[in-house]
Order: sequence, then C-alpha cells, then structure tokens
Amino acid sequence: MNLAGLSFDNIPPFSLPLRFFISAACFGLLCALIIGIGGEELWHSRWHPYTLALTHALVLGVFTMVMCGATLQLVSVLGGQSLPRVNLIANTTLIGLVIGTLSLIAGFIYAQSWLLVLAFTLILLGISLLLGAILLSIGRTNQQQHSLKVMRLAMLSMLCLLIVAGLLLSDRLIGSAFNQLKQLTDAHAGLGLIGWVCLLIMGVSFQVLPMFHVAPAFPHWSQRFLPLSLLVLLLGKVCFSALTISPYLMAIIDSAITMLVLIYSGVALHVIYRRKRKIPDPSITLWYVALITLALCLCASLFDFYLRLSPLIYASLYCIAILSIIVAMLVKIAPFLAYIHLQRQCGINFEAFSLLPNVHQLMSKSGIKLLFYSHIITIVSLLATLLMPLMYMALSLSLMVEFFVLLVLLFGVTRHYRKISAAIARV
Amino acid sequence: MDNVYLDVSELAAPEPMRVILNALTGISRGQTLVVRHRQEPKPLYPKLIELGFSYQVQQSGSFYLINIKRRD
Repeated sequence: MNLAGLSFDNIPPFSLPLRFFISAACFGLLCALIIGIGGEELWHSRWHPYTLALTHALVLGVFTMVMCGATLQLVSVLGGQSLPRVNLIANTTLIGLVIGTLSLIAGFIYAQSWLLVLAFTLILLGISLLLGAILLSIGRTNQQQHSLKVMRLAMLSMLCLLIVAGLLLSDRLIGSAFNQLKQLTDAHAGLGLIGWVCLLIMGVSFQVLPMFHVAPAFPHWSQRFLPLSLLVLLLGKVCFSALTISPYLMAIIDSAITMLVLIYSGVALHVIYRRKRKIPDPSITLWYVALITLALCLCASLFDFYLRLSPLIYASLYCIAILSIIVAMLVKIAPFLAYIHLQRQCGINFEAFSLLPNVHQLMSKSGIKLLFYSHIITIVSLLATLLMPLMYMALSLSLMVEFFVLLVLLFGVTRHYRKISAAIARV
Repeated sequence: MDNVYLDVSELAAPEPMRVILNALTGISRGQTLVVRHRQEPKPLYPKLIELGFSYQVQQSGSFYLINIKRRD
C-alpha cells in the first residue's frame, strides 16, 4: 500500500461522516419496515411499488449514504486537503439525500409523481454538490492514489446514473414517450449497482484492506485496469442499449462486465488470504462472505441461459454481498476516524497521548460480534425468503435487529469519542 | 547508544501510530526508538518534527526501520 500523501491534518470534523453513517442505519431500519409491510408480493416482481421502494431505500438510503460519508473523509485523507465549505456541502448533501430518498420511497408506494419529481430534484442537488466538490478537490491535488482515481470513475458513473434517472422520470411523467423503459431501467440499475456502488467499493478496498487488515497491496495491474475497464464497458452497454444492436454483442458485453467483477472478487480474496496475523476477525469473515457470495452470484449469471433465475434473486444476492462489505468497512472506519480526530486533538501534549484509546475501546469486540451474527442471520433469512417469500417477516425482523445493533454501535463510538475528547481537553 | 526496539509491522491502522506515540513518551535524551514497520509511516513524520524528534529511515528487505530520537 502506498502511504505517500496520506494526510490527517485537513480532515473534516468527525461528526460529518458520522451523520451519514447514522442516517444509513436509520434507512436500514426503514428497509426492514418496507419488507415487513410489503409482504410476499414484494418478492414476485421487480416492478412492484414496494420492491422499487425497497431497492431505492437500500441503494440510496444505506449504500449511497455510507459511501458519501466515507468518501467525504477519505478524499481529504488521500488528497491531503479538505473539501471547500465542507460543512455546507455535507449538510446540504445529507438533507437532500434524506428527504429525497424518503420522497422517492413514498412516491413509489403511493404512486405520486410529484413526490418523484421532488425526490429527483433533492437527490440531484445533494449528490451533484458533493460530487462537484469532490471532483474539484481530486482535480487540485497532486496525489495519484489509485483509490482517488477510482473514486473519480465512480462519480462519473453516478452522474450518468442521474441523467438516466431524469430520463426515466420524464418517461413516467409524459407516458412512455421514449419507449425505452426496460432499457433505461436496466441502464439505471447497472450504473447504480455496478458503476457507482461496485466502483466505489473497489476504490475504497484498495486502501482499507491493506490498512485495516495488514494485507498486501492489490496488484498494480488490478488497480489500474479493472475499474476503468468496468466503467468503459458499462457506459458502452448503456449507449448500445439505446440502439438496436445484436443481442449477441450485448451478451458479450454483459459477460465481460461479469468477468471483470469476478476477477476483482478473486483478487480481493487472494489479498485477504495473504494478510499477516490471521486472527479471527468478524470484519474479515464478512469480506469473505461478501466476495464469495458475489462470485457465486456472478458465476450463476454467466449460466443464466440454463438456470433461468429471476433478476430479483441476482439483485438480492448482489445487494447482500454489498451490505456485508459495508458493515465490514463501517466497523473499521468509524472507530478509526474517531481515533484520528482524538490524536489530532492531542497536538504535542505527551500527557494527552496516554489517553488515546485503542479502537476496541471505541467500538467493543462484543458489539462487533453481535453485529456480525445478526448479519449472518439476515443472510440466512434472505435466502429463506428467496426460496419461500412467506418467510419475509423473518427477514424484516433480522434486518431490524441488525441495523438497531449498528445504530447502537455508532452512538457508542460517538459517546466514547466525546468522553475521551473532553478528557484530552482537560489535560 | 541506548536503543528501544518496537515492532509494529503486524498491527492494523491506527495501532502503529498509537503505539509509537505512546512509546515516544518514554524516550529520553540519548535514547533511540527503533521502529520496525511493514510500510513507511509518512503520516508520522510531521508529527515527529512537531514533537521535537528527528528520524532516519532505512529499508531492510520488505520492512522499514525508523530510528527516532529527541532533537538537541
């Protein structure tokens, strides 16, 4: 891992990313509620209002919320400079995402177009502001970290996703004028799940796996080649889907995209396997679960001509893999950020250094284990629900427990941080 | 010269930084803290200067040895 250029001097206050993480946990609880209310029908079609509501609650409310919070911090650490007007940007993004996502969920469930328009406007405002500030900050820095370059690609994907979302909204408002609903929806889903989410996870993992798990750096070729190729293929697919091109060519592009993500999964598994100090760690286990689930899901999709599984199954498995990674990252990133801010507060006071906690004092091992087990129960419940949709209440309850535990852990980090910060201030 | 050895090569972030900073509190004039790390801890260097320490870095195979002592 290249530590050149890591800087902890110009990072935004700890409360900023934490607000995003706590909001994400709250949206997780909302996802559980949607599953509980939506019932069995939610699992029969991706076009069901509750299915659409759940998809966006998860991808925007949980995944994007966590990614925005983490990116806000990581860009400053990797780039060596804080974002301009960081408080204003972060709060505007947070408000836009929270109210926008809630409006979107309500818009789908109650079939109210004005709510969808409101949602699109707020989410566009919030995300564009953050993306613009981050792209400007990355553009100004001399740092050439691969993670920063991949974040830039993820943001480009998000911008394209927002454009497609605008087209989908127009299609809905003025009634199938484009006659491209399925292609636009597939493009939207691809740019979101594979472009934005997967690319960001790739970029962040290039940094966090070596940092938090004493793993070797990802091979240079994987950091340079995989993310860029993935985005190029994804954008190519989006453009070609608007034209009438051979379905065989589209199938080849789909397979190539699948192979790239499979290669990433394999390389990441190898990097984790080669880590030093192979002590039991729930975070590492979650990474293994996520990457193996991802690999199995992608392998199955390559043989879909034979398996003929519902797209909802692939999407569910993909999302649970992403959620596993997000939980694995959060239990490392949250206490790490708290520690960095406390260390900065110590300045050059030697007496204060003795007050600096180890990360398990900020987020307990037992709490992390509880979160891990509740996540495993969620995975089992999801698999059961996919096989028998009448099991949906078990999934709803397990998800509710999991996100409640996460919320408690995050508030715990905040509480310990404030206590130690006050002690350092007294020294 | 009185050397104090510290191996942080198998610690995950942010433990190397925390352990090194704690160890520095016990380093007196004339003593050298020799830290063995798996990567060069560049974020540590400005902190060392700020705290009144000097440092020298040597690469030993795939590891880094950082010799830290109080500046005169």
